[in-house]
Amino acid sequence: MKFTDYNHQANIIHHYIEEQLHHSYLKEFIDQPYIDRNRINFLLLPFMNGQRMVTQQEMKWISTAMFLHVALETHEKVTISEQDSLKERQLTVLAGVYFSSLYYKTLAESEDVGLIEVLSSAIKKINECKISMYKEEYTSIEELMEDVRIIETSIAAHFYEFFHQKEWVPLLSDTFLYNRLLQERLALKNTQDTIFINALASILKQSEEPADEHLILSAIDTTLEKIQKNIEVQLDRIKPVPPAVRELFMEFLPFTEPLTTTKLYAEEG
Amino acid sequence: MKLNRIYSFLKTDIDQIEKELESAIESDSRLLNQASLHLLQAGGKRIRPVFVLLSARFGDYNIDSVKNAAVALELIHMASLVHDDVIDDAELRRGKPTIKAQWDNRIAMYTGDYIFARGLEYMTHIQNPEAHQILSRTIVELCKGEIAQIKDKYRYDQNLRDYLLRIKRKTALLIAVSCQLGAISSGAPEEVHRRLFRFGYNVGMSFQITDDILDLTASEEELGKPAGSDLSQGNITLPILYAMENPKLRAEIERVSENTSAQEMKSVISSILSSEAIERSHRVSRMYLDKALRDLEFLPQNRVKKTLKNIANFIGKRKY
Repeated sequence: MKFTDYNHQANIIHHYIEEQLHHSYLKEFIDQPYIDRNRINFLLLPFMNGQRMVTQQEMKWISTAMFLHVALETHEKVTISEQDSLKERQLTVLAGVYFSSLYYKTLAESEDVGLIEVLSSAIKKINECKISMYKEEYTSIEELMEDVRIIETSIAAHFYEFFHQKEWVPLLSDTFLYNRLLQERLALKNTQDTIFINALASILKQSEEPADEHLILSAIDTTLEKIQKNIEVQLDRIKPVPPAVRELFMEFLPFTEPLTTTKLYAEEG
Repeated sequence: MKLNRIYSFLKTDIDQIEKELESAIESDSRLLNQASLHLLQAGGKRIRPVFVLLSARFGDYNIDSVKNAAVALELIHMASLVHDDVIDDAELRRGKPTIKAQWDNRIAMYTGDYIFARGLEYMTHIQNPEAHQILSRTIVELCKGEIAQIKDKYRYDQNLRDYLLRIKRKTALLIAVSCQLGAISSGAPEEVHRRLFRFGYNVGMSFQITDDILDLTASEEELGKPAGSDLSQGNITLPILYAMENPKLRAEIERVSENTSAQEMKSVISSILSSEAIERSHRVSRMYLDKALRDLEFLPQNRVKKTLKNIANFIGKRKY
């Protein structure tokens, strides 16, 4: 299968997910849920089989994993901030629950009890890690990174394992972690406060002095560099990697773009 | 008489469910454990597990398989409570600080999502696809009901039908499904689990109407929250709908908002209590209860049937 075919299939699934998540009243008050196309591409990977298109059933499986992802992301928007209107907050809570319930309903209708179990287990782990990150419960950067890895990867990793594609999980997990760190890096540069940055700052903080931006940035970049190397090694090791799959990972990982860590160092002097 | 005296013969099994609930919410995260336990230990009627256990007695009862449905339903209900407290900005539940009040919204959201996931995980111990289809459709309806409740807040032109549909989704369906899943999980005949669904639905409707009456008639101490909370949050319940048939009372009710003082609230409640709204609401609640009792007539005669009847009557007469 070519990468363009991949994209075409991802488009169809994207539309299906949009349709399923549509709720007219929610739409009036809260932002439409963001559907991450890259994640759809990755969830397609277990079903890559020659030239054939994904089946209706496979499309539903992929969509349910996406419903869950969207549900969790929606609940991330429920904050303690008083800026949002009460109605907005109320509907954001309910939208998240509604999207989760669609995951259960879709899989219940197709009688995929096994996949319900596997994905529920992923949600459980993700929420445990989110609480640890929010409460800054770490003594080392490695511990924090491990939890971010779980938060970013669990749904897809459990999905891959369920469809007997375990061999891709380490590469997938590095890829998702890499991408999240890039986003966190960008947030830091834009002086945005995130739960991750707060957790990292709390590990790096010396006595009562808060960790400065350079220190946090350097910790992110060091990790990014390590993960990038890991990914490159894995892409070389897994042979033969079908060209479309290589392209899929490279699309998600802009190593060749100006965002590479070495270039960033050069740009920032 | 206390509710749990009615089904005291289930005590051993209910204790087992309670232990199972405790272990179900156990987590590697210390804070998550604390938050979930905080909610679990606040107690509750555990009415859904009780209905599961009782209904299962109409089939081949085996606590080891039936407990999965009982625990799953209670966990799903618990998760919805945690989320509801964020939605309602509630400080107290059963007289204790809510998770969002004790910690914050974010911890409440993570805890709610965690408990919900645990509920579904428990449910997957039941391999019967029909059970999952029934429960999943119910959860979707429950969500739609909650969304409709927000949509209908402070909407004074709503009618009885809007209210009934809302409480059906909000409360009655989960109780109905508790009865149905209990029967399904013990392999009871289809006719029995359909009857039990109807019974649970009618009991649930009656239960919610009673709850809505109590919001106006019970004391803050009994409710664990200020009296008239529904009204001050814009929830138009059955007694309010009836009270609004009187134009003068309607004008008073329409002036209520979240900023209404306790003194003003007391006066509005007093006006509602002196109308016929409460009595008429009781009559509707009683009508659903009678329907529930009639549903029971079609079930095999046994001790469980008598217990279900007693629970239904208790719910109809409860004072808080």
